[in-house]
Amino acid sequence: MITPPTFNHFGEQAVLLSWKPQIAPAIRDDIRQLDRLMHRELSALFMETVPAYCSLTVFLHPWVDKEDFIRKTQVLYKQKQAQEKEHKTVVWQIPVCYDTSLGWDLEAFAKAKSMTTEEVISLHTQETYEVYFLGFLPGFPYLGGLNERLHLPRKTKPSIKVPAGAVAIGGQQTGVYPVESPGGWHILGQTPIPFFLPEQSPPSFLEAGHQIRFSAISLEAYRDIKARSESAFMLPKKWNHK
Amino acid sequence: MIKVISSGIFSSIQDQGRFGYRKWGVPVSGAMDAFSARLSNQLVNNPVEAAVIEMTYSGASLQFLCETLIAITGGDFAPTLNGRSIPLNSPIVIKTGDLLRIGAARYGLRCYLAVSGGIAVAPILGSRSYHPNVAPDYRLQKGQLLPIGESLKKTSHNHAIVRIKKAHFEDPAIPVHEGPEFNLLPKNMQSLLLNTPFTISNESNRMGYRLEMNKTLTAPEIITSAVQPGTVQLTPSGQLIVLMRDCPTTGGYARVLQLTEEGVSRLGQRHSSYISTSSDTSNCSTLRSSCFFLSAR
Repeated sequence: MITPPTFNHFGEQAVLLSWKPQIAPAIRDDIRQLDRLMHRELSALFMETVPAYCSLTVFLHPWVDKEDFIRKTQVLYKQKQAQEKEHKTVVWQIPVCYDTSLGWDLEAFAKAKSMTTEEVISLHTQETYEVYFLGFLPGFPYLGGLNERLHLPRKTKPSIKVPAGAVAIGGQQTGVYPVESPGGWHILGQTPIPFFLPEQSPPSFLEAGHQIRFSAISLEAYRDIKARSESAFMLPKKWNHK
Repeated sequence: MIKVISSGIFSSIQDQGRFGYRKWGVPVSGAMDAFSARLSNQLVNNPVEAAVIEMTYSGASLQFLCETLIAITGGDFAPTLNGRSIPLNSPIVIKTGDLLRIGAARYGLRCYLAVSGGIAVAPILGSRSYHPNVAPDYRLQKGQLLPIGESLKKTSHNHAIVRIKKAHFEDPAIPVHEGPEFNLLPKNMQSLLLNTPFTISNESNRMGYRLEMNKTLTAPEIITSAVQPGTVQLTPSGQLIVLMRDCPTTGGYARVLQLTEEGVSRLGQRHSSYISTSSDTSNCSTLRSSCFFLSAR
């Protein structure tokens, strides 16, 4: 059984729901179910919600009484278990070029893990990663599911410029930089698929609850997809289980 | 249309913020001093959320290619119209060809220009606010032409100069609430946080202000969770950061305090200067949660 969340005010207009401080699939699912239910039943009360690993922050309209919102949400939480059906998820296939001209930390990364670059790529493309939530940068997915053999502490000296599309590992996490940014993660490759397009609404094809798989592509394929994605809106393919 | 003759140090288009996209990691943005931006709109009969021009440290020079009504609010940047001094916080009638020059800050850090009808660039994700990753083109550039929206009324019957509460620019008190991790701090650190003088570091921008202090406070990292403008983070190495309008949507540092909305607007007008905290709660008696002050001197 999951311990129900605690409710606290977070400034004048927000309520913070906090679960036990740990990263766990059961908590993630509990947050997601309540978030969905709140959007269905209480959407008139808030502007938006921000889910994270073990919290859900609700930004209320200025005229809403926070305590009343908390009471209603607590009632909703108790009803939740009975009603909620499992939601179908989407698995996106993300093409990644692991060529060392794009994944400039790949060789050093493999060396630090006493593996060949092929082994690193194979482990990285084997897993299905779950999007826990988006944050840090516009469109940046916090992914769960990185193989333990690929855990490596962040670089001691962060890079000043990590390009948009960089696929990287930092500590126990892997992710994709949706926009250019400074960053301390190890760059293993780059994807030609844009992860953040502010002129689209929503601006990212990813949502909390979606899954992704990385698949290795050649430098030629990378250039080809990149050119096409720059001239027209492009979504990645959906993964087919065979 | 408005022609940008010169842009000033850092001038951008801002409204009241970009809402509804935080779950995709899109920052809220919007006017740093939302209070002054709203006032400027009210003076020219705009909806309060209309887009205005925010100028930082020093202002822009702008030429109007049409008749309109404007208002300048926020810090005093010594504005002139065709070489003549004009008042702040008052509607001003503009004729085609008029040249508006906004000078350097005499007090305050940011000044706002509202134009009747609003700055009518295309909204991006529901907002016209500049952000380097979301709406990178909405920073003013020399030679640029800015479109103005349709206005309901081109003239104002209210020519009074609005007098702004002195507190907005001068009061050292910046009201705050306890943040989600405040109670995890040891008691002595809670009291230090609320009684230690701070200075605003030069490494401060629209994303966040770094505070410097001579006491050592520290808090362990948290599992990444939501943050918002006004969240005061405390890092393991002892850095205090007040997140401002362009901040990310999530963060991994302890959220020890939360500025009130008014507090964020006030801090948006503060230079690097000496500020301190005190636990004077008198001005927040109507608020239910306990209230403290980060205060600027």
